[in-house]
Amino acid sequence: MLESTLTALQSLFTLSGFLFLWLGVIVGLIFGVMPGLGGTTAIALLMPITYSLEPNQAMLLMGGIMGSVSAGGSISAILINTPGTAPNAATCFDGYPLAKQGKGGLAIGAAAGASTIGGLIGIFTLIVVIPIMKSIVLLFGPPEYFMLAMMGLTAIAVSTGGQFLRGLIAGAIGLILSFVGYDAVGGTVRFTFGSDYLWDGVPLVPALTGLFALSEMIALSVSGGTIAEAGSTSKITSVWEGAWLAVKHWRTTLQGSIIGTIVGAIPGLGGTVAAFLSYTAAMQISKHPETFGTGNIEGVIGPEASNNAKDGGALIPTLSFGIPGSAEMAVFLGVLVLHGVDPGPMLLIHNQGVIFALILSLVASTLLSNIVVLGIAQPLALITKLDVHILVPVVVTAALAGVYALREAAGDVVTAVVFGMLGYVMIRFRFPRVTLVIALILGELAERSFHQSLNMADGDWTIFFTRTTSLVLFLLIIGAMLIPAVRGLRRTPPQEASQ
Amino acid sequence: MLRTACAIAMGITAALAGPAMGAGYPEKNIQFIIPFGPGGGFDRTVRILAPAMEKTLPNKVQVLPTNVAGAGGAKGTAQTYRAPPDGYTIAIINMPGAAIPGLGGEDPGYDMAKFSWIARLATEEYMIAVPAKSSIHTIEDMQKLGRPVKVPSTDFGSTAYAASEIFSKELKFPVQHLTGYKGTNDYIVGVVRGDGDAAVAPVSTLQQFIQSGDMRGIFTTEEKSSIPGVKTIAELGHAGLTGLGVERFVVGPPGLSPQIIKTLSDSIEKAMADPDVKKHAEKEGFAFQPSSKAKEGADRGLALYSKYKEALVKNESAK
Repeated sequence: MLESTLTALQSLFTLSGFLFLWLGVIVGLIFGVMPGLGGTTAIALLMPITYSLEPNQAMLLMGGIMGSVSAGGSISAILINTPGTAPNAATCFDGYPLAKQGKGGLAIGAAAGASTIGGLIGIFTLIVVIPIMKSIVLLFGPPEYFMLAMMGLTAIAVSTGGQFLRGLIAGAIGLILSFVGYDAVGGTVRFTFGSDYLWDGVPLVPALTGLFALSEMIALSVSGGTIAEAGSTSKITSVWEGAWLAVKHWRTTLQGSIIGTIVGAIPGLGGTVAAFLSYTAAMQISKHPETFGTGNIEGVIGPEASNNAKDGGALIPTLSFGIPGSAEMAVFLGVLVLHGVDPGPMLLIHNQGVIFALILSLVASTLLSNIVVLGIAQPLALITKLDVHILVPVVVTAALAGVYALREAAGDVVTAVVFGMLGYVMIRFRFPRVTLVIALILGELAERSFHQSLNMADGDWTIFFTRTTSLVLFLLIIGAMLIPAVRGLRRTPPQEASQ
Repeated sequence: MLRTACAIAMGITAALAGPAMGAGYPEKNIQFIIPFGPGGGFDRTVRILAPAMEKTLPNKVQVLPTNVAGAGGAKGTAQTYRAPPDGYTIAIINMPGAAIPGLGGEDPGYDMAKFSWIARLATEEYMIAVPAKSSIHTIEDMQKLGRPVKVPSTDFGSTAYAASEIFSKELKFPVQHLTGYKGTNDYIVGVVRGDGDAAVAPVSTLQQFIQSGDMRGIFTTEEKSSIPGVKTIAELGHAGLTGLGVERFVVGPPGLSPQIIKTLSDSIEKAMADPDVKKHAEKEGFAFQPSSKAKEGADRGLALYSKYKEALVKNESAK
């Protein structure tokens, strides 16, 4: 094992190895920043280039991409409310308000700091967990997925930002939308109106881009001015100050990293869910939950830590059984096979060197990409001072182009526009968008896992409580729901105490 | 005067257009459609083959792998079916996956029997495996279980679903399908975990789980078993099921000219001799069969699956 690590290190410290790493980092950053495109597209597009490479070099390239994509994505999420990649969507909620207050540089700095720490924690966890990887993956089956999805859905209740009823309605709409498409458990096609387009469900990236970026652009055009309100200044030091904040708010960073690693390790959940759960969890432990959504830096730190930690987590099922922990992992497995590496339970036994090269590359890329981001954040933040009449057409074009580039499907552009209009209506009538997104992402998983569990148990619903892991998760949900109640009780001490 | 000029212009254009079919083919880039997303087995097959084909085609053109994912493969397959039969759109398709939607009488956008069959690329035989500590050791054990054998799979139209239905009918043990898993490895791990009793999957995929000690094989549909200790289905008395598995065909739209089919088929055959392709072909189990054999193979497959039509089509009452 030591030998494999040394070989991996050797390949990193050669000129060509270093160049491939940097190529991956730059490509990842660019794809991350551009709305609609993301890690999955980058890896798929660069796959042919890896043909002629040695496996270790290919890993350096791929790791470079994976570690840097969400760093790039946080920039667009914060500055123009456009999630560069789906996992950056949660960063918009507080990142963009901060940009509006002229603190765009601070927010990007915090995001970069949190991303670095989160990414490193995720990888560290992976390394520590490798000997027991398989047992961990085997603990989570359909009943456990259902419980995790429910955990995420209950987060809706706490993330309504003061608009409880509206939040629930938005969540319900999200749930309805999540059930559109082909249901593999029942074998039926739902609400596709006879066309193929919605067969796989409402496409997430166009929906998120529309819901956040386009709607915000509409709102901006109506209000006019610039993103950063006049009279605010951002000092040069604020980027590094932001990075330091990620360390200062270490509880939020740590919590986000843990959530990201765990959620990333559950196949089917991915970075977007991790980011949203981390956002709501940050809200729950905060002393001032009502400030979330108006520019609370913790609302940036939490999600950004988790959307990097997820990469380490996603490697757990990928390496132990060849089950992709995230969409990028799915494409990445294809790259592995191309290089004669078989994903599956024998992966770590036969190809240790290659995997260590990947892990090393992820670590290096996490560090490098965030340093780059810190370097370019300040000049980039000036975008927020651009007048709306210049900014809006550019952002709308870039967003729609990115959405189209994803699958070359005109339908995706239509989806983005439809969600853009929906998002604008929600902004005007003060419906929180976060609840819709959480429900949209988790609804399908919750329903499918529920039915799969019942199928497995021949209709016996006690399966959710007789399996240990599932029971534990259920108790955690109850516990999480009781936290606000307990807090409420603590603040009003019983009458007897004062006597 | 103008009229004469137009006539001459049209004549020249017609003459230039003439060689487009047959002699000068290919004259522009060829689109090779993959009806699935990037990273999967079909995707890899095409991406390895395409650059080799560029070297073996008569003229210097590019072969462009294009993913058209959706509707479980039906979208890309239908797109190829509708394309003009000029040899510039071909596709890799999955049998029986592509055939199943049509069996039920629904219109998936194409008619399997009408495709132009260019080559048969790979056959992956199937295997049934159980968790290492399972009490099931033989087919008789499955018959005597006292309840249906739970077989997880991805979805109703999948090869694993079709194969397990056919096994169930021929080998006389009841099967309960647990669909909804996201991928092959997902449902195999599901069986290891205990969600179901047995996994039906390609030999090459299950092989690793047997090597790692997580699973044990019951039988394989190969002609000669590649897993020590696991018998073939013929050795167990059911030779009719030998060869059951997933097949990958290269097809073109209906009505492709025989010359174009032959050019493509020959090009693929030569591409298979390319050292890079050979290396991957061995690993993935490619074995090339030219167009004539391809049509035979396709017809045989279609006949087999039609025989089990009722079982394969999603059965509401079975849930």
